[in-house]
Amino acid sequence: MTAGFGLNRVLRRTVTALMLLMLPAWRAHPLHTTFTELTAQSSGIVTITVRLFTEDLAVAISKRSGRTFAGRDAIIPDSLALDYLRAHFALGAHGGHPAQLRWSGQRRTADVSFLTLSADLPAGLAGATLADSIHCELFDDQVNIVKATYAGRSESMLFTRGDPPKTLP
Amino acid sequence: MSELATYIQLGFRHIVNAEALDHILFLLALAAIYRVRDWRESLWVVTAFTVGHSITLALAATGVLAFPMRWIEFLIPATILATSAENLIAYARETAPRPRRYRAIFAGLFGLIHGAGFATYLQSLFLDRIALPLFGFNVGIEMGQIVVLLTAGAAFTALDALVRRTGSPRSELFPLRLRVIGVSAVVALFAVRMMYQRNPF
Repeated sequence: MTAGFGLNRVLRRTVTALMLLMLPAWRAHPLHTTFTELTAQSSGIVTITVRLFTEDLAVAISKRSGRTFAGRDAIIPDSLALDYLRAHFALGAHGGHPAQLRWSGQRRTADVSFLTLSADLPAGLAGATLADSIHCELFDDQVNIVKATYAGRSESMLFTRGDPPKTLP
Repeated sequence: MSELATYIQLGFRHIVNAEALDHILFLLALAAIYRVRDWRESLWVVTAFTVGHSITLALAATGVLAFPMRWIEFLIPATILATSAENLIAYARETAPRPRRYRAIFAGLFGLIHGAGFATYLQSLFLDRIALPLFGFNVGIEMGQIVVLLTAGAAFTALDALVRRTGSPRSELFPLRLRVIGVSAVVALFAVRMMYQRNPF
């Protein structure tokens, strides 16, 4: 038994030393996700509402714009938010060109921002392609959910880092 | 893909992920003392943990209760440390016919704390439509936990077999004892570090 506990001691000391040297700064386990809703109207306009954590958006915009925004109370200018979304979210017409995203506005609750856009998609959302890499440049575990409501149906998609564009059925 | 499936995936990825270290460490600490033949006991413990975190996840995500996140984030590693410490202090338990049944109660109580940790983010993002995200996320969490526990069980069994093959064991219980001490000590170190980093004072 003595030899066994000797082995335990060596094992524990080795592991302890390694851990103390190598431990990174682990923070709490946040949920890195965004939720985007697309609603097709009969007029051919698609309304896009992106829900994201303001604190994450502030980091992303700071990184992209070179200006400093921080925290859940950060005031993000509309132009910078639109520029960021155009770089990380794309909606393409069936077999065709990407739709131009237009800014509609933003509002927020305690720590979540709701960014609203619109786009012309006369053919509707069926067969449209979507790409969503919002915050994927920030977090390895980013998961973006997109829910599209059109033609009396609802479809959901999930995007992670490196995902190619996906086509709505 | 159905909306429910996306939330199940969201929950699953939230656990089966390097960023979920605190949750994975807790599962490892819970599982460290069990052998394959103790599967019923371990199932009770994991089920109790699931029930616990489902309760607070639902209460917090629906806004019935609000938890101070600063404290919850601190208490999560505290539960990991407590579980590891219990493993180390009571490492002679393997001489008992069965591992201690009170662990299920502790797991349930600690699950309450972990569930509060999940809930805040979910409630913030899906505040006006929480039922489906909550249900799907929870199912995904459970599936992720099962994957983590099965992986840990396989790794522990392989580790035990490796120790036996060294020819050094003094008894049949030596590999289990070594595993309990090794895993619990490492997990406790991580937990102490997390508690320091998340100090709410």
